[in-house]
Amino acid sequence: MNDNNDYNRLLNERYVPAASTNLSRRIIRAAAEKRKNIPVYQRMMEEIYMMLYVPQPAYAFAFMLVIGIIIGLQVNVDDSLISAEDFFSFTQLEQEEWL
Amino acid sequence: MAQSLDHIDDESLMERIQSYDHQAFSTLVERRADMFYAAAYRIVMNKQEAEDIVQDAFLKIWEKPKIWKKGKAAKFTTWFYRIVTNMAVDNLRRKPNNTAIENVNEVLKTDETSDKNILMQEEQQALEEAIGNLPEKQLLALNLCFYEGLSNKEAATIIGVSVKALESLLMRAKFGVKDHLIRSKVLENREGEVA
Repeated sequence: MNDNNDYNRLLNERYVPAASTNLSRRIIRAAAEKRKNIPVYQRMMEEIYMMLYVPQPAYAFAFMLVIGIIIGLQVNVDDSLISAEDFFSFTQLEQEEWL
Repeated sequence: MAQSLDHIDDESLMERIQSYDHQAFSTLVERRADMFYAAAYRIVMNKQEAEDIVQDAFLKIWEKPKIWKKGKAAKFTTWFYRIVTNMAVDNLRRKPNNTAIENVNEVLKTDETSDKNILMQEEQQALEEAIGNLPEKQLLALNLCFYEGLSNKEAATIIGVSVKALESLLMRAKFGVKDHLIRSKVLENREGEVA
């Protein structure tokens, strides 16, 4: 029993020296310096990128699909195909040639 | 006047850091630097190296904040433990064997010179030797579960093993340390004192 108590006490009392008092400040300063060293154009690109909303691929695909369907429904099929008259004259020509 | 961010949780601070908010970064560093320093120290057993590791880890998230994905990593601390732990282990692998233990001896000798602390120094030295001699995964299991107070699941995720494997690692680590302490007469000495 003493053995276990002593063992747990020893484990709990494991020594860790305190970090330097300026550790946090050192890290914060180093981060600020890193930012300063980034070229202006790269920083500008990053800021533009942060402003842009980049949608997830699934949402982009679904959005494009809906847009495609809407545009597709608005197109008048008759206008785009050959008219009935043209079609008739074409078949007539064919018949005459045969005769 | 800048608004205080002390009340904001780590995950929200990380989101702000992703927009290069330096104040959010400063708040996170001030809040967590000492905690992660201790975690790094327990692996590399060298104060300067542990501080450098923590600094490099924080600078990594400052330079590439997009590596943090809120959805994937549940807690910032768990995710950051993994970064710090990996960096500390890499540092440990680069060093020749026993360097870590030598480092501890130096720290103990310089920091604790009073006669009253001799016994404590011997105990600490034996403990560090015992822990320093553990295999890598056992060392991580002991540090993360026992010293950092992480749950078995979190520690298992960080080490990259199953929870069952982690429990086994932890048990073997504790047994290994205890065995070393008994062999180095540290535990027996204490028993003698009590008797």
